[in-house]
Amino acid sequence: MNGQAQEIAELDRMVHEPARLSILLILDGVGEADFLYLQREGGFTQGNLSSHLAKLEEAGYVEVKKTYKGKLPLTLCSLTTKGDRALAEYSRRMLSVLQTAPQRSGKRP
Amino acid sequence: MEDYSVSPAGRAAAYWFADGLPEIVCGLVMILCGGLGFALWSVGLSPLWSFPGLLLLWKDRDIIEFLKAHLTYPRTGYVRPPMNSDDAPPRTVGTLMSLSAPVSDRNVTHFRNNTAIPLSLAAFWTGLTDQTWIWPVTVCAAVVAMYALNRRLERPYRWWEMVPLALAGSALMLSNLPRGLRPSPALALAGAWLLALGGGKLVWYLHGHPRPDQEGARA
Repeated sequence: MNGQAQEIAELDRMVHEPARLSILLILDGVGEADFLYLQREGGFTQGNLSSHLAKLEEAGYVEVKKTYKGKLPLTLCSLTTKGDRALAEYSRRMLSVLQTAPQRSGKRP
Repeated sequence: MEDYSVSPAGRAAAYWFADGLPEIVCGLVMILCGGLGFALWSVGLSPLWSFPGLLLLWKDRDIIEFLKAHLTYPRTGYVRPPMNSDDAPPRTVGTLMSLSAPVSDRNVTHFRNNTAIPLSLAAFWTGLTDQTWIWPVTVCAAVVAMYALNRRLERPYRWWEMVPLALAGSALMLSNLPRGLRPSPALALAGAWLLALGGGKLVWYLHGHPRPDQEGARA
């Protein structure tokens, strides 16, 4: 297996899935957000977001806690240290793969 | 430079202003200080003593958060606003003066610095000088400063939002008010302008985002 294939094979599939990657990138940028904000920002359905958040929480990448702002109940989500590391590692691998790939214009001759 | 429409942090910063509440709170504090200045003037004291009341603006987060918890978060969700971040680059006189430089990183607290400070300084200055021509020039300078300081941040002003303030401010300054009283109506006018901007945004926001439970009831 060449180096590029090796890098692709070792990509973290928990992060690689587009919806989960989107959730992780939003949380990485904002620090903390509630369920409704993530749903609107990512364009998710309620069930879809719940299922991906559950997987990310199970993997230890995201912390989900129930809290209150005044009397409003909130489901707050934030990136854990493990999630932060996983996202950094994923970015490093993806950049490495893309940097070694030939430049493409998107137009075949 | 931060692109507020693309990055998650930039969008979170812009989201803080989506409902107009920061402008409303800032405007109300200014109107209160203007009213207090008028009360002080009517008992023979200088209205300039009301200006320390503007320090309330640096405690506005709790009020805004309280209002958002009732109006905004149930409708469009909560995200932690980037404010007072330690990683924001230091703002020097050089970066403040340079219109092309990105003056800050993501930090929504810069709004009150870049809005309340120019307006308050202009209002304060009008009470210190007798030269009539300086007053409208001061108002216009404050308006231009606000436009320039905020234009690359998460809450940019549009030029047509600034025109009424410049015109009304200049008209007020050229009216026949006693010099000693002048700072109070100037402050109240600036507050009313912010209140109108924020109020318009809030109405637009509430109209566009009904509470999910009300949405369900309508459907």
